[in-house]
Amino acid sequence: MNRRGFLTLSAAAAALPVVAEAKPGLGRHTFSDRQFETLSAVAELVNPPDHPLPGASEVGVAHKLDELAARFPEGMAKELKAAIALVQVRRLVHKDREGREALWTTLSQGSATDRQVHKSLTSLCTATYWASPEVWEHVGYPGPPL
Amino acid sequence: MNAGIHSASGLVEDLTLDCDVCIVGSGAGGGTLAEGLVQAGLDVVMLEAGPHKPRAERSTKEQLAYPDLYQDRGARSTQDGAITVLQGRSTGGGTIINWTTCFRTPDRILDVWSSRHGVELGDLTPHFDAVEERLGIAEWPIHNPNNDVLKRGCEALGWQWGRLKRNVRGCANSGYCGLGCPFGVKQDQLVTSLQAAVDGGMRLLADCHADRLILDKGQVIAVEASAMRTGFNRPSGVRVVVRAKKTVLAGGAINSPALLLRSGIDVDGHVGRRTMLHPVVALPAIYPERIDGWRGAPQSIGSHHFIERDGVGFFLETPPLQPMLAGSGLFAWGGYQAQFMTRLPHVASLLALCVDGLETDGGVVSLKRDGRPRLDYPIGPELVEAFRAAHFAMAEIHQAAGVEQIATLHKDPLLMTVDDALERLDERAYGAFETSIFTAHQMGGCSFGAVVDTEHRVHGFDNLFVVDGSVLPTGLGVNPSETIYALAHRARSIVSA
Repeated sequence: MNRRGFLTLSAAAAALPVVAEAKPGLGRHTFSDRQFETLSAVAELVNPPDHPLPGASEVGVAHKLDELAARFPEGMAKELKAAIALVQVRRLVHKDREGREALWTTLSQGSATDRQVHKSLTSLCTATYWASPEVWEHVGYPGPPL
Repeated sequence: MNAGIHSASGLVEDLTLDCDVCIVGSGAGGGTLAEGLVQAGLDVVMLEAGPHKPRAERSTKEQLAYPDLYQDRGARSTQDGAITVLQGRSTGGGTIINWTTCFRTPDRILDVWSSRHGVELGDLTPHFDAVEERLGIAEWPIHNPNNDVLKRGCEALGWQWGRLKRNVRGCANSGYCGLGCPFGVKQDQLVTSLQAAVDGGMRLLADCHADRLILDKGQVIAVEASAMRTGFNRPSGVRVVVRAKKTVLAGGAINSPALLLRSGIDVDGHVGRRTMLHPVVALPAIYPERIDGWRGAPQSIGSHHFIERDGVGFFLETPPLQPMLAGSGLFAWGGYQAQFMTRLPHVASLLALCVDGLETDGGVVSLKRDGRPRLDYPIGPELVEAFRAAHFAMAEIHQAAGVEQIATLHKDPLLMTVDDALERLDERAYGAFETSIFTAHQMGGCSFGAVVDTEHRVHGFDNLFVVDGSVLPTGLGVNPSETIYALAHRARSIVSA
């Protein structure tokens, strides 16, 4: 992405301070209720429940990311919240499954900022999902030796 | 504070230390240098931003190891998010999590440094000899099925391949080098040079992030640092100041240039420029037999068949395939991930590492508003062409090795049969945000010639040195750890003089 593209993301995040700076929801470390709801929806898109493997919610991907992000450098956690905010304003959680999939595809082909949001959230959800011991037996991985 | 390894997270009040040499960073450069400085009788204080995680306190579960041992808790990337950056962050730095492959710096690259960058380092042979002896660097004879795919494919095609050297002693072949060796047999800095330096009197402060250098009359008089909260990449509020006669930056590429920039040192705008990544693309494939790619030395076979091709050259190696690392390569989302990953025991993967800094200028490190490093790395047409060519080369290897299906890492992946792969690869593009791109080799940003002289001294300073991978003027075309060990070994006599 070029510099201008990223500045667009920063500007968008700055324009959404209420979303980006919202306090963590009850029992959470990083994300507000609405941020958590959006992140959960993204995680379910990346690893949906209707396949032989457990879905992202069953594995607790959003909960694990909520905990992980609390240990990020503060600025990095803010960038993650800003990325979620940019999905929030596209009203992801208000769409049905088809609409959500269409939006996620659109983001992956959109502006530099859209692609950054898509890539960063897809990557974080993917890594968190496949790092979860709950899915190891489904892929034939015996776990580490020690 | 006594000699030993301490965590700054335990400090309850500000701390000031005095010493001969302060080294910022505890990886391949800092560790190797520190051992020599302590042997020379110098009082050394070392700062490490990451935690101290000796073997007994580590886990090789990916969900714990990546946050504990990698920069940004395993989530570092270029500014635009297009390249995933795997870089170590704990005592021992990148040596704790690298995959152990060691090469001497190729003569071809040293010639480029001399002819294009005016960098003459003299005979490095004694330094390579010394670090190979110290770290048990030797050819590794046992190949797991994933590496055997690379060997088999190259042999069938008549392409160059070779056995790789690794820094291990009595390796159990577990396959977990990237998550911190579970058996303590990888000869990382924590079990070698750092231990020796601490035994000789060095004070190492982990969880201590160097914020800036304090300057007076054009020289560095101290390093100002923040103690970090245990298990968090966030400061505790306690300050640490190390007053040293000499200061050495050894935080690695990306981090060392960022520290210079935070200190107002940009050396005519050269600091942070020419940051190289050996950008990596991968091509996994599904084999009829079990591969179990999480097991066995991650890298024991390599091919430099394409290193001197027209355009950006690349070399071929293999990754370990624990589920998180394997899954992270998938750019696709939805049902495809499950479809692919349920075949994981049968997946072999090849890596193509592209040599930047010869035909390209690499990326640029600057600072974000809060002082964290920002890495902008353009994926230009030269690299896109190399990524495409590398996919064709890797597909040919898979075909020759007897694959069933080949699966690209595009956001809209190609799942190809052994017969149609070479016809279908051009159905997709190979630039940023089209396919997954990684880096595990960060180099440059404080290059010899541009930022430091050939004695590692930052231009304009008598007592400030950089001894890590950031001094490399170009990508190496080989895994960089042994080059950094050797340069740090060479720097011992310079810094201690």
